[in-house]
Amino acid sequence: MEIALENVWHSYDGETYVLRNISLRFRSPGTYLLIGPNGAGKTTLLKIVSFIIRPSRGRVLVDGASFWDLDNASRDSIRGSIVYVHDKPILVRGTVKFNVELGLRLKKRVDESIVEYYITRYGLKELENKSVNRLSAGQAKTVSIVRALVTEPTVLVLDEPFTYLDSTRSTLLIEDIMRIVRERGGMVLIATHYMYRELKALATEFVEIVNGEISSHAKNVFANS
Amino acid sequence: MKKELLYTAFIIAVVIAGIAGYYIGRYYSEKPVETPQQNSIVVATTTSLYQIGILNDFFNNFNNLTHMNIKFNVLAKGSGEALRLLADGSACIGFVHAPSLELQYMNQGKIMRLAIFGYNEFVIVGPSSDPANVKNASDSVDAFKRIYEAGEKGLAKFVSRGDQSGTNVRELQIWSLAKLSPEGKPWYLKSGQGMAQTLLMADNLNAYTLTDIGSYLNLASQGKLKNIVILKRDPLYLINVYSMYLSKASSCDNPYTWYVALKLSNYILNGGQDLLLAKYKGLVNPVRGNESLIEQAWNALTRLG
Amino acid sequence: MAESIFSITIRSLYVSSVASLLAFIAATLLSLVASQLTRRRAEMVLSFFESLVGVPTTVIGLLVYMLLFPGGPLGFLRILYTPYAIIIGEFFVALPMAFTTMFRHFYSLRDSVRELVLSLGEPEKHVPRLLLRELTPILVSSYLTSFSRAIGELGVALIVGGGIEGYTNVLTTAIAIQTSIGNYEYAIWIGLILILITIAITFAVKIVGEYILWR
Repeated sequence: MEIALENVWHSYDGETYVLRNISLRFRSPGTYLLIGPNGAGKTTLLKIVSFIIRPSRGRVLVDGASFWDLDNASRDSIRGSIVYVHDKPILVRGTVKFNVELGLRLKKRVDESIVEYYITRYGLKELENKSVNRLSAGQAKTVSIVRALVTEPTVLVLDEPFTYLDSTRSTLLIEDIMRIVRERGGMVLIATHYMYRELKALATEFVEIVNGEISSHAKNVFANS
Repeated sequence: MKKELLYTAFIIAVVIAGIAGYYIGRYYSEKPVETPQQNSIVVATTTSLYQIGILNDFFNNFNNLTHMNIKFNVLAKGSGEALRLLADGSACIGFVHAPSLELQYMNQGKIMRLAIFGYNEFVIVGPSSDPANVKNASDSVDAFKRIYEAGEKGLAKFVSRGDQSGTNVRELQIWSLAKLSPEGKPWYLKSGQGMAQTLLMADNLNAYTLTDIGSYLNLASQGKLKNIVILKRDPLYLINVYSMYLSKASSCDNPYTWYVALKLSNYILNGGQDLLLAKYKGLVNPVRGNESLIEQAWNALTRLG
Repeated sequence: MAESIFSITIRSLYVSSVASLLAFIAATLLSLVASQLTRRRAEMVLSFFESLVGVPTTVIGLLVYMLLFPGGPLGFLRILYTPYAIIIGEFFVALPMAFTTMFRHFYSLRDSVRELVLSLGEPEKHVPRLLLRELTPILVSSYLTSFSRAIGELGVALIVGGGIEGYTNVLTTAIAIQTSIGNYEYAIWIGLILILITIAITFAVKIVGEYILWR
């Protein structure tokens, strides 16, 4: 799968542009790292790549076809393979388990063994019947990441995944990212303003964004993929 | 543990809701009060008549005698508001005691008098120590002058209804006869409430007030008034006349309402007079035998203000 | 002399629950319509209703009286001094309450649920169902809040209901009328019932909101 942005501009209010003339190409398998200061436009860019936001100008191409010009059915089927994880987790009322299963429930294919596996792996077993409005920030973030992982997406988009995450869980997440890319041939996009050492080794490409524009774009020659 | 508690609470709530629902259902299937009744008439009355219980007796006896079984929907208001409701046609029959206001509405052609049926008196009540020496006043006007002077000296307070009720209208008439204006004085308090609340307020503040004797005796007999006593009566200016009116608004202008109203006034001027004599003497006196005298008093009262 | 507290209570519950249910339905429809507006316009609508919450119920009572009295535009309905008149008046008392308590959540939840559904790679058609699920506790507490506002108001019930014994006398008018004739003891008993009802509702809102529906 290839997702390409072609001269993408975006503005929320029609006045100021948070993204200006972005052209980028993401291919699977691959791990892409988006870096840049807060407010640079990383989140907007990721939401455009995840087809949540339609850009004000420019095209989003999926394997050459312009996503927003497709019919609804094709759009829905393309969306089905991509999952975006918010910087600030959006949880629905209910237990941890319910939230983790939410994506699968919507897809109508709840697989208990996968749910069980990830809940245990990320140390949520003891919390699984707890209401999500009693979780700490880190626990809530973990729930939202696990919710994405259980759907086994081919494209996983993570917005600041490591904030609030302790080092054990961060390491687990990096392992899972590598598995998606290497074993399943998927694609992972990560936005972060903080650079982990492990991330450096992981990424196939770095994109730096400052003030809504690409300020540097480099292939990682040391990538051990 | 916590979960079980919650489930128990939930089950209890459901059971209570069920029982309530059952009763609501039963209540409204037994008494279809939610359908507007054909044979109901809205009556607006001054609170005192409602409080003493005279109106209920009137209506019950009337229904027993005539077998008309009419539902009188009683609105207990001040005379000012009651007259306004009559003028609007919101209520068709009214029982009030504010002659000067009554005359105004009659002159505007909004209401029609059916009967002057009863009277009692207003009295000036106040603390038994009587700091203004109202007891020795020559009449009510003189009494108000004394209260004014004592008030200015900081010795006395006066509580006014301040609500355009019959009592309030009379009080203002006396002030104007005394050529005094207590408006805005620190010792002149306005309750803006009914007679009972005003009396209780005067009782708590050791203040003077003007009241119809019925309301005073009703509360005093229940032991609710500890400090204030009747200090001054005045047959000339403090007579309190109760009249019955019919609204001339188009909503009341139908043969049925008129028939009931006339029949009711007829009852009140005959059987009702016996009832007043037997059960309410002193609270509200029947007019029978003194009709022309009371009507003269009513006329004099309209000229007071 | 006065009618039984039980029948007054039942009448109060009946009148206020019908009024607040109608207000709740209207507020929900209004929220649906208003949530289509831009954020700035939606804020304006919300501020408008927030200011209506503070209007004294007596004023609403007078306005409804002007509408329903025999010379008024709806006088021909002949429903002044009936329970229907109270229901209409309390509808207007409860509506701003119901709307303001639900609309802000309506607006913000709609956006976040949409984001969530799309972010999980799901089609937008899943949004309404999940949104309704998320809104349930808010809708329940909004209904109960407007109900307790309706049952506790006096202005409307006294002016357009009139507090007629055995017909339109509700808890608040019974308190007002019994107080006005100096029967404080009886008024206090009714007041206690009113307090009990309001406390029960507050607890119901809390339990529903925090325990049952959030689990």
